[in-house]
Amino acid sequence: MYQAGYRDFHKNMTYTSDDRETLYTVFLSKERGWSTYWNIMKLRSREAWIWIFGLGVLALFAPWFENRVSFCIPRMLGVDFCPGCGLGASIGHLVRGELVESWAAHPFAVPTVAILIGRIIHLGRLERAQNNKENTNG
Amino acid sequence: MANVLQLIPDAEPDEMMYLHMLMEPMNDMQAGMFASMYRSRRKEPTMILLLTLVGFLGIAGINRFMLGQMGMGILYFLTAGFCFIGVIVDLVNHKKLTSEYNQKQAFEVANMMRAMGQL
Repeated sequence: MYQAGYRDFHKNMTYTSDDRETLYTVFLSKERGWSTYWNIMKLRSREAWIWIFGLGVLALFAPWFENRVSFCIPRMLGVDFCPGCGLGASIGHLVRGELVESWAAHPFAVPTVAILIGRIIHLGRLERAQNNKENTNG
Repeated sequence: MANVLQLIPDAEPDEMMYLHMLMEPMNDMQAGMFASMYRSRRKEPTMILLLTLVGFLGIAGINRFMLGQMGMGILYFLTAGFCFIGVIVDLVNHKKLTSEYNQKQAFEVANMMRAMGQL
């Protein structure tokens, strides 16, 4: 039901047998190497890049940030209570496999990472469908 | 060919592109039907911006709920929009988020008309 319109574009796209063969050989060939994974660099969605950057920074540097840097805006303004505090540390622990510490810092690390990665994938698919649509319309 | 500008005057420039593409093969009656269905479903970017600003009062994520993103909405609501950083992200992206939703609605309306044999 979700994004039915975009899926229909994929269905209605007409590949010639030549195209299909080329796609298949590219998929099967060992030469595809890194180029397949570099496709992520073509992503133009600003929101997707913000989430990728945020998750990446937290995954790499969250333990270092602890007691040094805080991204919490209420804390910067001098308010003590914030329901999102500890999420960064929690994601940092989760990436390193420290599940107990992760839960102690903030219980939502797993759903947050899952939903954000889902959102990034969704935005990527949306963009790919739009690119295909532009190509088919010439 | 039906005129997008006349039928949906409140459309944004990028919205015009896909509306024009969808409405090109329609005749005047079909285009009128499409426009009335689409205009009742589409969301105004200004309204989404206002709902995002409500997030600064502590109730973040209403904009995401309105745009049909339940997972993100619940996440924003329970973490105060990632300590308000997510709220700022949504303020910056509010036009793009709205156009994503509106575009989905436009394609759904066109599909619905196709299913009912009106297109």
